[in-house]
Amino acid sequence: MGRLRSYSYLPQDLLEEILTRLPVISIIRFKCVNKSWYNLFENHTFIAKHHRHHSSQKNPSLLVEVEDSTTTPQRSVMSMHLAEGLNSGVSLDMPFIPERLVYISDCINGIICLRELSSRLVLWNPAVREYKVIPNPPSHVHSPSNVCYDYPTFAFGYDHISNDYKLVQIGTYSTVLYDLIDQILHPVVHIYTLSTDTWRQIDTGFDHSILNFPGECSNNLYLNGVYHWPGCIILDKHGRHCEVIVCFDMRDEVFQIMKMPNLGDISHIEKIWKTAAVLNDCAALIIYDLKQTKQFDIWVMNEYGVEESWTKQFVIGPLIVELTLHDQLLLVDDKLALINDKGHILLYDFGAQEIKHLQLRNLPGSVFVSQAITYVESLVSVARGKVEAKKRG
Amino acid sequence: MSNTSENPNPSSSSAKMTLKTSDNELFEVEEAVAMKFCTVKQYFEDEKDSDVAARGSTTVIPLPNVHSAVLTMLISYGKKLPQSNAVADNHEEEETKKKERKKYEQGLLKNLMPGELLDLISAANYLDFKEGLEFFNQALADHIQNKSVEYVRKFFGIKNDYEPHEEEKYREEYAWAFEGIECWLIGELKQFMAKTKTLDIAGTLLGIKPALIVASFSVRGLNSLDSNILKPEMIAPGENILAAWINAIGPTGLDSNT
Repeated sequence: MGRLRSYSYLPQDLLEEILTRLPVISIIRFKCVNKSWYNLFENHTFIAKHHRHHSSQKNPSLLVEVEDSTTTPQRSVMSMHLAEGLNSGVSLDMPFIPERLVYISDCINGIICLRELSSRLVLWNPAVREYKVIPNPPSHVHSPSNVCYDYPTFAFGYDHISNDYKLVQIGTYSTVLYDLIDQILHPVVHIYTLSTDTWRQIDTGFDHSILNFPGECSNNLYLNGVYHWPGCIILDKHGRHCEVIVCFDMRDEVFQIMKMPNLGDISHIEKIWKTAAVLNDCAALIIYDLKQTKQFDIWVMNEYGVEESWTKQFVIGPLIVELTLHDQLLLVDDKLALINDKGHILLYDFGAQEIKHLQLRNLPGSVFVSQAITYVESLVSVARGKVEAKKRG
Repeated sequence: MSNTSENPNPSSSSAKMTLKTSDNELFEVEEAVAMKFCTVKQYFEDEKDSDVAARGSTTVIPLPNVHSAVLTMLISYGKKLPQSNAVADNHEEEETKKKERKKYEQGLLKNLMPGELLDLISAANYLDFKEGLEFFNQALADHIQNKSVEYVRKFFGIKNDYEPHEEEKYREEYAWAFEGIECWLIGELKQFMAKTKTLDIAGTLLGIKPALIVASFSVRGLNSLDSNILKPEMIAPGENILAAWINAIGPTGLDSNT
């Protein structure tokens, strides 16, 4: 088969189609090809297109924090393809040493929020190797002695209208009476925006009957620009409460309540373990009955915000696996991934309806996975704040 | 591979369409495959609307931007795609089919020169062949992803408009992105070596009819008048063969050829 002309001329849009398929490291390198390519790769539309393409690919990646007693250093953060396990893992350069890492947020547009031992917060894009240290949030107002300030929790999100990244700090206060919590007061909420690089306080918009703020665990869910977590509302002063999903809209900066699915009478079941996740772009709740049925119920909210649309879509199990509360549950594409602290990954494929066991490493005893999130690379820059088309030449 | 367009049975059930390439070759293609080329589909549907062409007649659809070699490959890829009206298989059958397709695709790519990918992409774009475009775009991206900047410039015919110090600064700042990338020359050599073919001596073939004829203007034997005039020891078939020559002396020694 012969070639007809030296180099077929490719129209620009076709060339862009091809370039969006490149991994981030290749794109960083090819910014050096010429100035026109550099400008293309800095362009906000291209970056969004690139990330959208890679998000839709069927080869999910995870970012995991791993402790491996056979390697030096022992702790590291790696990205790996789920199907291949840690053997495909690539160790990532972190803004600070992995030993100081406390918390990894969900990955939004390729950016992750990290919290360090000293409570420093950092926004990090591992693919582009850029990070931004977030200035310290305003410290809480000095309060009277009977008021105690709980450790603040954070929600990381993205405002797609202003193309800006936000970090929400929620601090709760409670009054203390004889060393017991008496009353929970208004939470104090501060928001940091990347574009202005500053914190500001906002009015919470809800009253103090809401308990349970996003903790640093896998119960939080970021979807459609809204941050969700399971919470509780006190219904009356007799202490009756009901479980709800509390949401914070990153764009409008308001709190809302969403109803949980009607799980029936589950009060007698101990150790119900709920994890929120995203399945096919819908909010999902994974309910696991640790004691009795040992099966996973996956509820999906097919229509966002419509409480009646909660349907029990899948029931997996019963599984004869030993689970502890430290294990991580993730929904990745159409698979349920269970990462237990011994370093094993259990993958349940909804399509094939089969369970696969993946060993993370050859020596199972040596690996301990502490945190895992789904991860998709992106070119989004954090060091320069809001993404701008920076022209060269 | 290429047939003439005569379709003696206009009422034959497996509908075929005839496509004509830029080098005037005609291809008879099953409708199911040809319809994946949306440009062809559009043409066919426009023709259907007009009163001139009745269905099943030998309408020839011209593809002036597509060479026959390229079309062959695109048709072959189109045939391997899952048909849209196929019965849904169970999960196992689907997995086997997926594996087969993957093997076919890998084999296809192995034999392609990278430049040919560009031709295929251009043609698939012209034909609006979505699956083909998706596949070959990805193949090209996979091919260039671990290549050097020089390779990419040469491949796409792009001129470097950076000042040397600018480029140097960028490479230093992002050294991690340039690690482990092989020099483009080594890459080209490797590729060339992989594609080198060897000639085997087939031996003497007897009984081939018709035998090859030596052209009237070529030397064919000893001159019966003078045996000092030599005959060729080896001849090869072909006319108008272009051979290499050095710049110092033209091919015929004539002034007009230097």
